Amino acid sequence: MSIPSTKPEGKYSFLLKHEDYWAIWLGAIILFFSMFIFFGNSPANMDKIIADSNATMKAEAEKAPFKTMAWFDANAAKTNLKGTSAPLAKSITKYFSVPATWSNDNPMKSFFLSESDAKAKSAASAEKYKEAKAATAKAKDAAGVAEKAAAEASFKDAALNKEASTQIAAWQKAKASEAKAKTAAETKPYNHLMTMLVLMIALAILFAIGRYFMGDSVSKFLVAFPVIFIVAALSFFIGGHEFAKAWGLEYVMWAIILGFLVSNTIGTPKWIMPAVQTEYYIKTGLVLMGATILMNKILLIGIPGIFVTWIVTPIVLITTFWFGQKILKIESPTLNMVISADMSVSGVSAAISAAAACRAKKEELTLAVGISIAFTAVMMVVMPMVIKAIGLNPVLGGAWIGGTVDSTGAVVAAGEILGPVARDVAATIKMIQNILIGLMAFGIAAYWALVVEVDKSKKADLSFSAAMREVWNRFPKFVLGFIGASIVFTFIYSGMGADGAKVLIDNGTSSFLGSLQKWFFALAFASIGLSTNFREFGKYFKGGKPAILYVCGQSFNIALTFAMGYIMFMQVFPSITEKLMK
Amino acid sequence: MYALREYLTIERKRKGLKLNKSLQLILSLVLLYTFVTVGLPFLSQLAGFSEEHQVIIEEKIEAGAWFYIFVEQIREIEPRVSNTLQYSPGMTKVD
Repeated sequence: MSIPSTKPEGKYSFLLKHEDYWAIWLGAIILFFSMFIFFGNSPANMDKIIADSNATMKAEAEKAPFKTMAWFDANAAKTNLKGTSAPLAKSITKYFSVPATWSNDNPMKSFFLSESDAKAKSAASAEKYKEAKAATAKAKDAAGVAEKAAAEASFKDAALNKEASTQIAAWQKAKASEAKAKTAAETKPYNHLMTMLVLMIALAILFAIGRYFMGDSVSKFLVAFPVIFIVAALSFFIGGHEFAKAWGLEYVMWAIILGFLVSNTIGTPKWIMPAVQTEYYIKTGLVLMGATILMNKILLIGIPGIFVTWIVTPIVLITTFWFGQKILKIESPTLNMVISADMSVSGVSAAISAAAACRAKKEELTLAVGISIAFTAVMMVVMPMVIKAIGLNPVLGGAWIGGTVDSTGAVVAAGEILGPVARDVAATIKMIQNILIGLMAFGIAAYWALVVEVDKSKKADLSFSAAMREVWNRFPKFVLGFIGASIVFTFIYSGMGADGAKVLIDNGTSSFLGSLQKWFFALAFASIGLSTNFREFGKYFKGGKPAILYVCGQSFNIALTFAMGYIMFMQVFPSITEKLMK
Repeated sequence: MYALREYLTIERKRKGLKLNKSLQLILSLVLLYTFVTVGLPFLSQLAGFSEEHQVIIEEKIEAGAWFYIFVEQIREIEPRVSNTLQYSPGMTKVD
C-alpha cells in the first residue's frame, strides 16, 4: 500500500494520489496514443476497397448458392486491410514483441535470429513454398473449371454446385498452406533482446510517474523494476515452447511459478519489493482491456449467440456463486466469485477482472487461474473427441465448445480439431462471451460495494445520500476507467461503421493494446509469484472445495450451454446454422 | 578468541544456508526447463493427445491465449463469420 504524499493537498489531489486513478490516467494516455497512431493513418484506398468488396460479395451471394471464387477474393481483400500494416504502427509495435515460439532444437531462437540463420531457414523452406504455390495454382484452376461448369448450368444443377463448392474449399485450403509456407520462406531476422530492453525502460518510466505522485520512491522503483520485467520476459520464454502453447500453459502460469520459485527459495529481496505492484499493473492492464470490450460485437452471430453467451453465462455465474456460498460453504466469498467467474465467463480474463472488482486476494486469483488452466488443457482436447464421437452438427459443436472451454485460444484449438465451421463458430461465441467481462466486472463491483462489504450495523443509520457515498467510497474506481474505455470505443466503433472499425480498431488499436496488455499482466503475475509464500497459498485449497466448485459449475455450464445451443441453433434459428455451414 | 570462533562458525553456516537456497533455485529452474522441454511432449504422448497437439502446433494456435485480441486467428475468423452471415449465398441478410 502506498504512503500518501505529504505535499499540501488541493481539492482534487486525491485524483493523483491513488492507484486506481493512476491506472485510469496511464491507461488513458496509452489509449489516446493508440488512437493517434491508427485513426489518422488508415490504409491506402481503404474505403474504396471496402465498398468494392462488399458490392462483389453481395452480387456473388445473389448469383450463386455457394461462395464463389470472387466472393472469397473480395473477403480476402477486406480482411487484408489492417491498421497495423501502417509504417508508424509497425515501427512502434515491434517493441512490444515477446520471445518467439521455440522448440527443443534451438531455445535461443526465442530471443534472437541472426541474418544468416534467417536466410538458412528461408532457403530450407523455399522448395516447400514453391510446391505450395504450384498446388494453389492447380487448385485454383480446378475450382475455376468447376465454378464455370456450375455457372453454365445457371447454378441449378445441385451436383455441379456441390463439385464447385468442394473445389473452391480445396483452393482455399491450398491458399492457407501457401501462406504458411510463404511465412517460412520469408523468415526475417529479429533481436527481441534489444526491443525488450527499450520496452523495459519505457514501461519503467511510465509506471514510475504514477509511483512518484503516489508518494513512493521513484529511484527504488526504477532499480527494482528490471527484475520484475526479467521474470515477465522469462515467463514468455517458457510459455513460448511449442508444447507449452499446445497444452495451453501460457505466460500467466509461468510468471507465477517463476516468482514462486524465487520467493520460496532465496526469498524475494526487499529491494525488489518497490516494483512488486500487482494491482497497479493489473488495473492499468484492465483499463486498456476495456477499450477492446466492444459491445457492437454481441450481435455478431445473431440472437442465438446472445442466448448462448449473455443468457446462459450469467445464469451459470450466479448459480455457481450461490452453490459455493450455500452448499459448499466456501469460506471466502471473493475466492468463490473469482472461480465462478473464470469458469462461467472466459477463464483467466474473467478471473482477473472479477478479482480486481471484488478485491480478491492474489492467492485466490492464482488458485482460480491455476484451476482454469488445468481443466482447459484437458477440455480443449476431450470435448472435440466427444463431439466427433457423437457426430454432432459442427455449428452446435462449435457453440458448445465456445460457451464452455475457458480460454479463447483453447476454443480456437478445440474448434480447429473439429473443422473450420466449428472453429469459426466456437471462436465467435467465445469472443461474444469475452465482451461480457465489462458488465460482469461492473456488476461484481457494485454487488460487493452495495451488499457484501456493507456494515449491516451501520446500514440503518445511513441516509440515502450517505449510503451512496459509502458505496462510492468502496467502489473500485479503476472499474470506471475500464467501463469508460469500453463505452468510448464502442461509440467510436459504431461511428466508424463495422467495416472501417474492423480495420482501425480490431486490426489497429485492439491489436496494439493487446500486445502491450500482455506485458502488463505478465508483470502483475510475476509480482504475485514474487510476493506469495507457498505455505500461505496452500491453505486456500483446503478440502479441495475450489476444485469441487469448478467441476460442479462447469458440469452445469456444459449441460445448460448444450441445451441452449441446441434450442437456438438447431430448433429456433436453423437458417443461421445453414448459413454458417456454408 | 572464542567469540571470534563462534562468529566465524555462524557466518559459515549462514553462507552455507544461503548457498543451499541458491542451489535450490537453480535446481528448480533446471527442473522447470526439463519439465517444459521433455515432460510436456512426453505427457502429450501419455495422454494420447499427440495428434491433436500436433495440429495445434502446425496451425500456430496459442491455446493458452485467454482473451480474443491475443488470438491471431480471430482476425480472420471474425470477418469471415460476419461476411458469411451478411452476404450469405442464396439467402436474405440476417437481422
